[in-house]
Order: sequence, then C-alpha cells, then structure tokens
Amino acid sequence: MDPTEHMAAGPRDTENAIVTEDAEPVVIDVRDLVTHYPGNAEPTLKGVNMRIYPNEIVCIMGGSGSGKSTLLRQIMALDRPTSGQVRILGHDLSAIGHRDMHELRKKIGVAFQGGAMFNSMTVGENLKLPLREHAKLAEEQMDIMVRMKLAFVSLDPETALKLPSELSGGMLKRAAMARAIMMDPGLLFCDEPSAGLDPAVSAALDDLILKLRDVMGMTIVVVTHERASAFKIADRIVILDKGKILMSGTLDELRATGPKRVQDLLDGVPEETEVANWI
Amino acid sequence: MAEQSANEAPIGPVEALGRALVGGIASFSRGISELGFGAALLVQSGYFLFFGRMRHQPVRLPSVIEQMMEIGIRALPIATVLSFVIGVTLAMQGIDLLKTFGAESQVVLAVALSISREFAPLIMGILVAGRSGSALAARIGTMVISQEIDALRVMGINPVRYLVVPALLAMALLMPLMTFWADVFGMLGAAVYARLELGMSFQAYADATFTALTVDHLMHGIGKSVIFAVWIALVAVVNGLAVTGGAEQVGRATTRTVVLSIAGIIVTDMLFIFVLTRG
Repeated sequence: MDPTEHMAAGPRDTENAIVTEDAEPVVIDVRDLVTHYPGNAEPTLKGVNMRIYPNEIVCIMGGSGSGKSTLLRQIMALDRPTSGQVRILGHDLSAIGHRDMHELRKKIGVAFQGGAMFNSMTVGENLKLPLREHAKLAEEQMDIMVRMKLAFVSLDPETALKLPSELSGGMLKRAAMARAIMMDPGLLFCDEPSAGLDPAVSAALDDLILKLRDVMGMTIVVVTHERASAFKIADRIVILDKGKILMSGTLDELRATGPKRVQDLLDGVPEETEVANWI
Repeated sequence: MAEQSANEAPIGPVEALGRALVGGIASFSRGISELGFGAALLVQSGYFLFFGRMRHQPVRLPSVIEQMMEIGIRALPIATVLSFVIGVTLAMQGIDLLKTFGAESQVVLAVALSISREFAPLIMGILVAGRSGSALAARIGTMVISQEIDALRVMGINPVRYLVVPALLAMALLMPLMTFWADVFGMLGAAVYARLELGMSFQAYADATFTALTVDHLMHGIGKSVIFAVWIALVAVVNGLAVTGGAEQVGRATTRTVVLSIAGIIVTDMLFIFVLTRG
C-alpha cells in the first residue's frame, strides 16, 4: 500500500497531523495509531501520527499517563495496536513475517528504563547474548566486541565480569546501552535513560546518546520526562498529552509557536486538574 | 453521610450469595483461560523444540543442562533424605500393622509397591513443585517486572523458546530419573529398618523386592512423574508470566504455583490410577 494513498484516504486528526508528505527517507512512520488497554474503553493512544527521520534524536515527552510508554512499546513492536499502522525501516509491523521480523530485530537496540539486564548473568554474558543469538562468532571475537562496546560507553573492561547487581545506577544504564548497541543497530530506543540519576551522571548519559548519533550514525528515540536532558539532546521533541500528539518540532519551534499546554509541559507546570487530583 | 452508611451496611444473604457466585464465575473463567494459555505454551514449546532451528530460534542445550542441574542434581541430597525417611516410615507402619496377622515379612511387598507406584512420584512431585516450580515462577515473574522478558523479545529471542522449553524439557527428563532415585532410596530405607526390626538381611530383602516388583510397577510411577513434571512447569510459567506490578505479586505467583502444582499432582494421580485400573 502506498503510504501517501493511505494518508489521503484515511481519516486525519488535524490536531495530530505532524506527518509531512515529503520524499525524505523515513525510519519510523506511525499512522493513525489507536491502542487500548484490555478492558479499558478509553483508548490510550488516540490516533497518533509521527515520522522519525534518519540520524535524528527525537525525544517523546509528556506527563504521567500521556501515553509515552505505550507509544514506545508500539514502535518497539512489543504490543499490537487496536488500529493504525507502524512502519519501521520500511516494514509494516502488522504484516511482517517471522523471518523479516527476526532481521528487523537485529537492526534495533533498546535500552530499558531499569536496564533489564539479566541478573543471573555477568555483564559480559549479557552483552554477548545478542551476539550468541544472531551472529556466529568465536568466543574470543565476542570478548573483543564486549570490550569495545564497554569502552564506547566509558566502562572498564573489568565490568564484564561483574553481575548487574554489583553496578551503580549510572553504570547499569551504560551497560544496558552497551548491550543495546552490540549489534550496531541503526535505530536505538531509550526509555527514560536519565531517570533516577544524579545530574552529573545524567549529563554524561546525554553526551553518550549524542555520541551514538554522531559517531555511529544512529537514529535515536528517547522517551523521557527529564526536561533538561531532552532540551540538550533532542533534534526534535514530540509532546504527547492524553494519548494525542500536541505538537512536534525543535525546542525553538515549540517555544515560539506552541500553545499554553505545550509551554506548561516544557516548563514542568502541572495541569490544574492534576493539581486538584493531588489535593 | 447517608451514602457512607449505605456502604457500611451489612450485606444480606442474597447479596452475599450473588457476590460469591460472581467471584466463583470469575475464578472459573480465569482458570479456563490459564488452562488454555498453558496448553498453548505446551504446543509452542513442542514447536520450538522440533522446528525452532528453522525459525532461527534453536533450543540451546546448555540452557537445558543448566535447568537440569538446578531441578535435579542440586535437589538430590534432599530427595535422597526424603525418600529414605519415607521408606523407613512405611516399613514401621507396615511391620506394625502386619504384626497382627503374623505377616511382618510381607512388608517388603507393601513397601515395594507403595513406593514405586505411589510415594516416589508423589513425593518427588511435591518436592519439585515446592523447590523448582516456585523458583521458576519467581524467576519468570521477576523477569517480567524488570522488563527482562521485553528485553528478550526486542533482541529477537522468543521467551517461550529461551525460558519455557529448557525448563519444561529439564523437568520432563529429570522427574522420571528422580522418581527412580526415590524408588531406590525409599526401599533402602525400608530395608535398613527391616534389618533392625526383623533381622532380615539386605540380600533377603533385595531378593523379595525383585520378586515382588515388575517393570510395570516401576513404569506406573515413572510415567506419572512425567505428567507431574509437565504440569509443574506449565503452572510455574503461567503464573510467572501473569505477574504484573511489583515484588508482592511475585510472592503471590510463587505461592499460587506451589498450591496449584501440588493440587494438580494429587488430582492427576487419582485420574491416572482410575484410568489404569480400568484397563
């Protein structure tokens, strides 16, 4: 199906219409995405449209319950949508076969919020896992790759011998990042990379994300509620609110033309109803 | 105020019955759904075991061996002690009861048949459910809440192939061996007691045991143990994967696994005997 034909024919929510009809290559193309949690009549995502282009860092921001994590799970192909379409690197996730999905997985890296390192394995074994599954390499070659990736994320080679439980929060995030880039993916997802870290460690992780884009040429999608971090690393910020995209653009564009709700979210000002709920 | 009093008012017998009925239907529905999920896992496990390699999802032997070590080898000391004690207990009961008829020597037959057909698979089933089933449920539940299952999926590793098949296979292979082990040590325990109480030599006890015992008797218990193993593994996986939220839910899943496993073992045992004794 021709994407432009779909856009012309399908219902469009002008409020969410950030999709541009240009000829640029697209890494992620989300169209009219609607999702529900089981047993919940109210959709979590209400017709989201979004495009992400090569070699850019896009930060998805929004308040609690805005649908950030749900959107991330959809574009990581972990959940199925109620309706709509997600295309990643040209593959329609709703129609992709096992073989293509297997190949696609090799091109995607994910750094989860809590690291999601396997606690029964050493950090080195965690890093080797994608290689064992997808590449036929000798143990020595895998050891070299582990050392290379650990060095890239500024961790000592000895870290490979430690268990994830022996690492500090910042080291764990770096190790998770190292595992995410083991297969040299073109696309990296980071879920709250700075959450729970002190400002210095958080800033170092931001630098690492910028390095991954600049040195390894990755396209990076970051879900975060850390405003300082997003303002530092994002080429583009997507603001989600109540399951809809309020606005998308550079920080300057959002500041210049964004409505009050966007400005409030950028300034960390809670909605009045949120304050009322807390009280 | 009036609303508050209405909420606090004691419920009548009809309402209580209605609530109990609704609760019962919900539990029954959940049970059916879990049985279906368990059956689907069993089919998927069989698929990955035989055809996984074709889908780039091979079942790795080291994972199976690791599970076998955990389920079987490391449980041998406690399995040995339990079996020996059960053998001694049965011999004590048997000799005391048979003394009335002056047939104490018949304790060999009673112990051989009761251990091989009933006690060895049952005790090993309960041991594995309590030790390995609960550990498997806790492990998978913890992996769910720490997003390790998601991490496997985004790395292109099917969690059923990676986690379920090795555990299922290890239990199905190890339980018969553990049951045979329990047969041997149970009868040894009885032989030791018979020697002390009746002055029966080990040689005489062994001769009488081999005369009484047939391959059918042994296979009766060993066959049951395979069914118990599959049941325990599936109950553990279904409960582990159903974990949502935090550590408290992992504890509940673990407890539920042990209770359902043991209940299932006892019911399956009865059905197994019913079917076999009709043939």
